Amino acid sequence: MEGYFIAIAISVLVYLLMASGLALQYGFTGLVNFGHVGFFAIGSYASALLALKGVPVPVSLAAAALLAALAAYPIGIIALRLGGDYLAIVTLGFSEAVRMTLQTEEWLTRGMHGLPGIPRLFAGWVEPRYIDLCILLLLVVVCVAVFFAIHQIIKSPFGRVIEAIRDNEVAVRALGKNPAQFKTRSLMIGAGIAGLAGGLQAHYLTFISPEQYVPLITFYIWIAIVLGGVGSLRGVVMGTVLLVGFLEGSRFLRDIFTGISEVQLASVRIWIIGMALICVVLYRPQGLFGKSAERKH
Amino acid sequence: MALLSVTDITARFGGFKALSSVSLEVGEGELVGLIGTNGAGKSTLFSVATGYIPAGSGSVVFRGEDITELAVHQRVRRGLARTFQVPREFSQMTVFDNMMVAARDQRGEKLANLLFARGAIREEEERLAQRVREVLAFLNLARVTDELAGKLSGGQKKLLEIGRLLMLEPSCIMLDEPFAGVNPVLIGQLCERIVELNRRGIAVLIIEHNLAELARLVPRLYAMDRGQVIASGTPEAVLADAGVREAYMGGVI
Repeated sequence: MEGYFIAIAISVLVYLLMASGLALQYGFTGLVNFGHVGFFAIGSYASALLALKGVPVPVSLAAAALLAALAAYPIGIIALRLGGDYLAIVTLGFSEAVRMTLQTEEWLTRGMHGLPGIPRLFAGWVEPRYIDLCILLLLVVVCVAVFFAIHQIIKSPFGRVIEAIRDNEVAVRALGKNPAQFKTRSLMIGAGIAGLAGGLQAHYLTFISPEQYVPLITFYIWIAIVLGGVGSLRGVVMGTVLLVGFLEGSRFLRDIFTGISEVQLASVRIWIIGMALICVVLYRPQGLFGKSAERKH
Repeated sequence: MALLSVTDITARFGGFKALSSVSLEVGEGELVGLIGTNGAGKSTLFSVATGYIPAGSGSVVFRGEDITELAVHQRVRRGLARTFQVPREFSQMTVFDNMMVAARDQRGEKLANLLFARGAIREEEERLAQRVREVLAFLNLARVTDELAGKLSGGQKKLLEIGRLLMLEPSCIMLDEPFAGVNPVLIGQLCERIVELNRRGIAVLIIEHNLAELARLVPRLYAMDRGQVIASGTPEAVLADAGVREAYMGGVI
């Protein structure tokens, strides 16, 4: 039971890390990134492959974040010159292209067979039975650090500009600033965080395969931040904890409602999430924990 | 030499010729008006001069430099700034932050500086905040410093837009219908501020429908009709011009 709780908590924190990146991109810059999972996948595979080649895990994790951020650069260059809707299409296409590449380039990724035997975090450092707990603690530390960093960014002059871009991009240009430059950076930071999350998850699971990186993951994160409130970090945290906690935790529902089948229960879970999303958008568009967009100084 | 010279500009929207061979000049520190009926091409001319719409042919020269091919933000950085007919305030941000965003080349806009130059950023923020308060006081907006910009009245939004331009320390500002939708009391105040800015050496080019106000404000006018400049000179001369009277009043008066 305790082990299961740790597993859920790790899952929540990995999603939370990804959600923080998307919050910076969408919540604070207004970038509609529908391909977040692509950067997550790049981070996973980069860190896993490097570690399998003998690179120390801390180094491979840093490389994963860097590589995911760099992957966002060309997308910034290409797509940010276009309107918001095009970015959504381009990023969604990008993440699917990443997944297809992982599936087909078997010489590198072993394709659908997946990558087994990825070195675990802390392996050899601590006793095996404490490893999960250590990973959990590491994730807590990383999440706190990332949220602190994002908080610093959004209340800085840089954050003021991306907020202005979300509000009125034409006016930002009229003030002599090049929105594409700021949007590219925001996209790269968010992608780097997703890459880091991917790397951490790979070294926790020790096995990854392309079907883990379907667009559904991206949309779970979208649902989480919309539920919680896109424009506030607190909303992002609460939304993610609620959604992922519910997704993972609702497996217990079967122990309570013994009459229904596994398939029926799965449908009920999705139904509940869908209803919650509709209700929030209708009755509380700023999110459950979102405040009005007012900015204090 | 003129500060801003627009020469032989042509602009097309599909088959429609919005501007045909338009030329216009604004001298250093000059205050110039631009009038014309709806659809005459005034705002299009602004957009071409500031880079929002590419010029089909012709050139835009600012401070002796050909800026015809430059992007919007690059022109602004050279000192040529504009407002919009419909105000484009950052509605979800406070008036104070609207102003703070505008200042150019802030250290804190560079992410590396957030790590390594925190002290310098803090100093810069204090200096900018001081300047923001001065400009807001100058524009009589001090009372609404902490309001969301989206909640301001139409006239206050126009003032705020001018305020943001002032943070850029431009040498030429182009105002697109600054008096439209502004109540008469505020119009007087707005005129006064524009004259004061001009006195400080900023060249101003104003598009305006309100001929009476404009004629009182500017010493020199251009009149446009159907994509062409049809008259220029002192307000008296332009308003007396037969072509202008024809365009505006259909020859009735």
